[in-house]
Amino acid sequence: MAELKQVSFPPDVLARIAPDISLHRHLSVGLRPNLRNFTEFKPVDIASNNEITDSNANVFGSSVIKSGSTTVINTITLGVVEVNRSANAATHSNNDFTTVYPVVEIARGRSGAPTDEEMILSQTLHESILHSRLIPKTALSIKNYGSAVYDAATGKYTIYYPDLNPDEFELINFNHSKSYSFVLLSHIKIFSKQVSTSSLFDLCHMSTIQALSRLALPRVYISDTSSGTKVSIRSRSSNTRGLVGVSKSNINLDSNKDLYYPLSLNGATVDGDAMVDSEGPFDASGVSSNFGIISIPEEEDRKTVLLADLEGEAEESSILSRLSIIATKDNVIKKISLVNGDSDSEITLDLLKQAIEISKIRAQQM
Amino acid sequence: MTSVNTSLLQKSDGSAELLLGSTKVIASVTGPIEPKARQELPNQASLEILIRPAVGLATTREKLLEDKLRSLLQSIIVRFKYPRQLIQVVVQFLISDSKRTETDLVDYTSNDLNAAINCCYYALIDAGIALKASFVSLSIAVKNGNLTVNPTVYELAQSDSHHVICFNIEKGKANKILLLESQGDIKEDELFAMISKAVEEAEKVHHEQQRKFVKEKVENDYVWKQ
Repeated sequence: MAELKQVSFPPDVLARIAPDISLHRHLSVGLRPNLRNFTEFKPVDIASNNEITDSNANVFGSSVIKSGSTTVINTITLGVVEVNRSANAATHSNNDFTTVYPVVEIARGRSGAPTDEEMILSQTLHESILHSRLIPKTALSIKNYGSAVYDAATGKYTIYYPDLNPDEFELINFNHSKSYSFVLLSHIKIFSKQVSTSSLFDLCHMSTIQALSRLALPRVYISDTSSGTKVSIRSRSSNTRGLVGVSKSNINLDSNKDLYYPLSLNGATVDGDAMVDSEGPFDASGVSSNFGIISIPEEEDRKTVLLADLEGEAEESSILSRLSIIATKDNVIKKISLVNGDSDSEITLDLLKQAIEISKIRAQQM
Repeated sequence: MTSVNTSLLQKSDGSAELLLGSTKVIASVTGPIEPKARQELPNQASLEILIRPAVGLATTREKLLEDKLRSLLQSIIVRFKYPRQLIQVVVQFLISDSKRTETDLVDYTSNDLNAAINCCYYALIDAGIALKASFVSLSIAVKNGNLTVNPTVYELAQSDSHHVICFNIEKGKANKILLLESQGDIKEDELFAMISKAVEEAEKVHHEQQRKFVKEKVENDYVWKQ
């Protein structure tokens, strides 16, 4: 009778055909497949220059961050909407905050409808920024919008603002009583995705906060004709074009960079036109960290371990108990998302405490 | 205010309608049925979760709810009992707190998620799908350290933090957290105080509502009753 030979595979082949076994073997020798320690995070590089914002007139805030080969490029553009002033009368504490409208795109070498992963990432980002109460509605409302006046003698338009040019402004026949607000549209592109979806959320969150902290809002003015304007954004109210009684005025963004002003985020102090150096951009928003919980067999017993910042196919497919935490350095937790997906490796309250502690330390170090 | 009504859809294997606070939701479970080839898993059942909002079409908001519900249901359904088969869960909101036109409130999904989870419990029981344990979900708002269970959308708007917490119930005891979604400004001590209070509340819901319901259901559905 032929002897049945034991089949053995080289490690990289085993990792592909049986990711769970490969993961267990790595963990039992105290290493993860990506050669990091159990609670070690993948390093993140945040680009310090502001090149995308400076070279594109319609980008008002941007950030580029890298973690390994994964690159996240975030650009924030602006929209203008008319707001209903009477609706703000009631005071609801959480209602005074707004959020960004992100579109996450993971480059995969083909185009098409957004995948579930992209939709879930965008929506999670949208909701977490809203509920972390970071962007006050008042910071985005447009105050003192100016008016462009055509000077027939010089043939040029001059923009007057009620706060900057009060004397000239009084002379203008300006009857525009609507109130407007900015909307933040965040476009996030992810290249060479290497990390897990939960780590991708951490990177997207970080890049959005970074871009928001650098965001400079332009002044807005109203012109009666659209000629001679540089950046023209059609307001949502002009959807009624063609109906009766539509004013022909256009809402424009003033591209004069000297008049740009920073977005004042809740909890962050703004000094002049830049954030105070001692304050990091992540102080008020917190830093997002993710963990996976898995139990590994260990002589007769099983040991449950916490893995930080999941990465790679093996960790993504075999770890079902997940934990995602946004913590600030002031011991406030902004978000916890916990799923106990694996009955063998249960997230106990002790593990939750441990994960919160690690997230806080990470927030202090950012 | 909670009311449950089951087996109201004729053509699905199990269904339930749940009214919880001001959220009304109907869930249907079809399965185990034959899956499409791409959904089939060789050693366990695959799940298809569809969520429909009360008004309009499903958006990314519903996609995220689907993802959360799926992560919970795939760990609680005994999936190895139905290899190569599909269990389809459709959740249709009838009345939802969110997107009320008369208010300018921000959108909270926690009451929706909570109602969907609890409704799925009754629908899965009605469909006779094997579950590893019972589960109870609670929506909780915390304001100055005080808890409100099943808050209204106004209470959510004024809370410091809001949570959806789902417990695994075995032998009448809540023994582990299956899902926790917390947002807002949360202090660590408040969080653990909230969890320990939620345990009592969840056990109460299990004993007073779920057990009573299942007992009555078995009595009524039992073919050979006297």
